[in-house]
Amino acid sequence: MEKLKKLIIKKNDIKQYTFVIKELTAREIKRKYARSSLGIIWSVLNPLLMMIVMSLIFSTMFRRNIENFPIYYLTGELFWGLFNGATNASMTALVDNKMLLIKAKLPKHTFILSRIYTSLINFGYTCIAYVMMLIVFKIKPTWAMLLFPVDVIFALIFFMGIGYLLAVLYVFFADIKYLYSVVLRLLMYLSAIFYPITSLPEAMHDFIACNPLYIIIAFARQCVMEGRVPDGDIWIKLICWSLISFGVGMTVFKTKENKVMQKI
Amino acid sequence: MTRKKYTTLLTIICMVITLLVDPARVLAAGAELTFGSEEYEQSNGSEFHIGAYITADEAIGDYHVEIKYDNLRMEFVDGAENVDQENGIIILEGSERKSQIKYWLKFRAISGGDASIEFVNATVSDYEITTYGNAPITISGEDTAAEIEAEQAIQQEEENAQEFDPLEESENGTQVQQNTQEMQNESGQQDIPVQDDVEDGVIHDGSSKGEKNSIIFNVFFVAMMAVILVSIVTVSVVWNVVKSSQKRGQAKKKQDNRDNTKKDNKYKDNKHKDNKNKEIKKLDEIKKTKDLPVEDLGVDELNSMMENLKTEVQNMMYESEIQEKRGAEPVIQVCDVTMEFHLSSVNPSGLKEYLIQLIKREVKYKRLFALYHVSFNVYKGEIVGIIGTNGSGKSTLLKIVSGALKPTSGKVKVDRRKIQLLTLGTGFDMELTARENVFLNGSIIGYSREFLESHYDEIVEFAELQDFMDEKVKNFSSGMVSRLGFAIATAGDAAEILILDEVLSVGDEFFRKKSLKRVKEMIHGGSTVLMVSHGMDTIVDNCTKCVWIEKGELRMIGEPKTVCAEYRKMDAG
Repeated sequence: MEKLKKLIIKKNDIKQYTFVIKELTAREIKRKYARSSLGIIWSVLNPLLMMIVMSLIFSTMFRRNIENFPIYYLTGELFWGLFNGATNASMTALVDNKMLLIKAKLPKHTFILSRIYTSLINFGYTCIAYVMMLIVFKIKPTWAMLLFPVDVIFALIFFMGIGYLLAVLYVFFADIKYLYSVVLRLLMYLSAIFYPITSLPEAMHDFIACNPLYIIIAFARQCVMEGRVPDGDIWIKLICWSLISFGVGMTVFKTKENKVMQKI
Repeated sequence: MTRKKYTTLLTIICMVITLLVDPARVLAAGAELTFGSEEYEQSNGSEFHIGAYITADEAIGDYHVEIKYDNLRMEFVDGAENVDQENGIIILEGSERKSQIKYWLKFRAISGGDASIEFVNATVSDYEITTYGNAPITISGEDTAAEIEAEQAIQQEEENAQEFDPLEESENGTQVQQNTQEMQNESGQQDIPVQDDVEDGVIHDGSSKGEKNSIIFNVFFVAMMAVILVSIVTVSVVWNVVKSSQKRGQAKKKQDNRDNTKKDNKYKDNKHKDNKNKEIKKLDEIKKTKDLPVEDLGVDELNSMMENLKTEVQNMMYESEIQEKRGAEPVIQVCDVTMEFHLSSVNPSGLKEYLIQLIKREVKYKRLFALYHVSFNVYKGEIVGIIGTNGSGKSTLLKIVSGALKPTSGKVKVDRRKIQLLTLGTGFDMELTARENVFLNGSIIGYSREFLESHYDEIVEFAELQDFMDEKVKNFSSGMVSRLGFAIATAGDAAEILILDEVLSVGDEFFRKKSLKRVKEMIHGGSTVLMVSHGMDTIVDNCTKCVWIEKGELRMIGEPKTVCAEYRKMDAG
């Protein structure tokens, strides 16, 4: 009986948990598009427009090296957008929800998870644009494409770790926001989003091949554009990165949780 | 400048250094400098073109290239703007987005013999230059230049006779070496490999090896600078630490001693409290034991001790009375809770000071006890008011009880599921409508969706905001906001323990009465209430028990009337 009671309590907790995340996410989305008339459609439109601009600029530059430049770019931009959105939003998650944090009986990382979930929903809408483009550019559907969600899951685990870390850092060190934007810019140029990696000198290849974002993007490109199961080393790197990031983020978050509450 | 700023500054410096070091390593791609053909044959007096090419892996960017030609046997005519005719140097520079640049250089042969043209000195953005092209030019006709060359060679050899180091040779020196070589080779054919060797030896700064070296040097330089900087800082810091440690050390010791005695005293008191364990019978014994060391103590200490004891006894008597009355386990048990905050005590006056403080960790923080060994119990159905001056730790106590904060030491025994915390800052999202906020806030407080849907009307009605639920909360008055907050927090019968932080003193007269009524209803329904208020009347009128906390320490527990009277006395005194 005791066990059953506990199970019921647990089930209720999880139900409450998902309800909170849903409410928080709804809030984020409502806030984001509070003053725009197109609303969430911008999540579809924005990457498409960006793709057109980037294709106009860069497709002549890398014509020989990349076939289907728009898709190549869009795949990169898709994950870059998710990363950018998720980490930036989770960075301020604790500070923004100061008052709610004191009230909440739920685990504190709910707030970070909700921010990441918001980015995921945005990502979902962007994927509509992506699928449209895949059809327009006549990319043949293959079984390997089913690995795309796997990539997204590992990417999310990786982003969660980074998000936890940033959220805690931001509480103690608000300037991290500006510093992080610089790091983001650097990371973007090192992720081969709009240029082929072959256009870089040899020495850079190994370096970039270790960049977790590049790995995530390369995984997606291989399974969607090339229609094959990604290389073994990409799998290994992807899994390692996401587990390390999540482990570090979680540990930092757990150990600093009480300090965070004091500071807030 | 505060210490926070210094942390920021240090981090940014670190970032900049890493960014500086990185590009040097990252951007070293290749560039080639070549001529159109491998060799040229011309007759004396004729005009001819030589194509000079700069090729890189990607767009070239800024470049500066020097080409050296034999100015005794040929004359530059056209094709470049910056030419040093005397030394025979053509300088090509500019900035280009293309990955290849071509220069069409026009020369006129002015003497027979074997001339040459070569790239000597070049920088092409950050590229490493892999090839320095050179080409021999054979000019048919009488070699009038050889004599002049010989003269020049002799002259300069004399000049340089004393110190001749090929590594430190100027352009002229290069000429000399080449020329002497040419003179030795009587056949007139240039020995290209030998010349290459010379090149490598002479032009050490600008050659391909040199380029690599300079990158390594750059990195090395930055690293050296960092090392030097760090060592300087360390030395000065260590010096300062050593210098000041004696003085500060002494001062600190004294302070520590004082702190320790203070702490010890309190600790003893608390131990006593534990020992007594709410049994009044033992009190007399303790009084006796306390009476013993009287002779050793000063009058002041004795007085304060007696006073402490008195309040303790009173508190305990009161608690045990209540326990007898209620006869149940307490709902909230606050056991010996201490909450310690670290505040940065000193604002460093300079970077040096900051570093010193960083190293001497003991001066880093001021320890502030928001709560110091506080213990009390709350029984089911009680309405406990907590009073105390501003900053005495009341809100901290509530946060600890509600589980938002963990105490530094001690324990709070309470079922957190049952707690409902209601504070003035409601955590509403100003951009959302009231309706959306009800659901958001309700979900976080712990209501399920079904519960909120079924109680929605009730909440709206209680808050008296029927016409405003689709308005954004930012347009609400502060009274409306707190009304809504109160309505959500007290909706239904979900809260067994209600914690109110300064909420009963807001809103208009009517709403205050209404919320009081609601709270009383909840109490009637079995809720236990813990409330903080500055309004003495609210406490006296509503509470069954009052806890007075002053500067983190528990002063008094008892009937609201007596405690409030004491509190007022302190104010008067």
